[in-house]
Amino acid sequence: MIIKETSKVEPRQWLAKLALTFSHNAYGTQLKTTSRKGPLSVQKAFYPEGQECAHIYLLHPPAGIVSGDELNVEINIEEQGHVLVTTPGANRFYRAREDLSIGETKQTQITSLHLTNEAVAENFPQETIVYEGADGFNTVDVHMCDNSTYFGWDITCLGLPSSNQYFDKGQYTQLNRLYCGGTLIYQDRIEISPKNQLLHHMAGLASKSVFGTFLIYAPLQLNELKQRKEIIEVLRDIIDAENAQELISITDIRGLFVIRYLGEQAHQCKNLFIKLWQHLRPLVIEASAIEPRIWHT
Amino acid sequence: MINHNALQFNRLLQLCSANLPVGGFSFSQGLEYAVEMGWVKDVDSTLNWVELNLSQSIARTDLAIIKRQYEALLNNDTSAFIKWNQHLIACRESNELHLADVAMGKALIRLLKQLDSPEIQQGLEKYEALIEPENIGSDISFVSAFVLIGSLFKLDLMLIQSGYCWTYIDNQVAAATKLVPLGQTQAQNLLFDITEKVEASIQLANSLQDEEIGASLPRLAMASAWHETQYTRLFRS
Repeated sequence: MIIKETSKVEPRQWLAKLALTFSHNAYGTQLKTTSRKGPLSVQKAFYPEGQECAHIYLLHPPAGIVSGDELNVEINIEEQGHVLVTTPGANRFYRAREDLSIGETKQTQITSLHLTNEAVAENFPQETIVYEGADGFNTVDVHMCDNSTYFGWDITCLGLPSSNQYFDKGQYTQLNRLYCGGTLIYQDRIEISPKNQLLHHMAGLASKSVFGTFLIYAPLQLNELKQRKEIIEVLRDIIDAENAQELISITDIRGLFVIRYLGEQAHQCKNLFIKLWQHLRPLVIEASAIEPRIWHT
Repeated sequence: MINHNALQFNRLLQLCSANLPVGGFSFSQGLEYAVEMGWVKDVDSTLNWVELNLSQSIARTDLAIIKRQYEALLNNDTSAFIKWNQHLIACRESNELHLADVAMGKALIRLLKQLDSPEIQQGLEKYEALIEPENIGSDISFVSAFVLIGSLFKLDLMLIQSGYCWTYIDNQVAAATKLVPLGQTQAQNLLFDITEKVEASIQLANSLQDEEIGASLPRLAMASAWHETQYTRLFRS
């Protein structure tokens, strides 16, 4: 095949990668190395609760992902390190390109967290807004060992219903995987596409525009069934007190807490997740939950 | 359909019979809560609920992995079989769905060990590395146990996948018959309608790449989690 020079169009895309490694020593948790390519970056770590736990804000100045983009965030936490990761604002998967001659439509973000012995990760990105017509693929992979601790959520908003922009066109896949000691122990793959009826089906999203999943896994601290049952009961009481029984479900799959939200408002989802985190954090890592300042700006 | 004989068909029917004592009828897989909430309330909504689960969740997870495990057995690839067993269990999105899968898997293996058939006993010996929790590092999924027995009975992939679909559909319709409730004739009509989707579900399953495996149904997963605290229950959670 002969490709005419004139028909060649430079695809507009960002292949961005950010890899961070945190170490822990007598001075606490420190950002040891940063390797970056493209528009992803971080500010220096904050320590609002002392040196043990580094708070990190992931920055993505374009603030959104378009067709052809592939964003790759890798967070490594060495022995005993403790990192809380968040973002200053919503992430966005914009409408995918329709002109296929300038490149493929796919928009990808992959976040991976690697936790070694006794490492703690709290992965709390702000919500992801998926615009109508997007072709998004968002993956979160957690690799941990049986004495590390993971708290992490993702919150997805389909379209902007408050501005009457629904998500009737476009596709989006959210894939969450959790590996412990190299073994896959949890996989959750939610694929919304016009080809399946997930968006409106009663067993799917039931026409709700916001869904979220909050995973908590601390195999060492939460190893007793009786203790977990008591905790789950308190978490359910918190949800009852918030009158959110029909928005949040909580289950304990052999020590992995899977908390789901299905509703209409990202901030409601976030507030409920924060309430549950505030109860869980002291029990699991003996530290009270300090909300990152950026959540209030 | 080459080389199938009457005995093989009978083995398939035995494996898929509602009388197989593996406890499938003690789980509703989220359906009991869906009925409680009025999401499933008649023949049409039952059809709609079970059909989506079959054509999305079961097709993209259970049926797709059956294919891989069937091939792993053909190739004597122990580690692939075990890896996919783990993958199946990892895809169970609530305690109830997880429990149903591993409790039925365990019950099926326990049943087989008690049988007199030399065919079964030799098979279990041959596949010891694939069924004992200490060998595979986890429980055995009902799906894995089902593939294994299907292979011992020399059933081909299509029969194993069809049989698995039947087991699931029959189970859900039986649960719906009690819960909705439905009449016997309505239940039979439902079986006719839902099984129309089996062929397409198997085709979809067999066309998937590894990275396309898995399909959560968020509100079904939530229904199953909420079932744990449902005030009155006929089914286990």
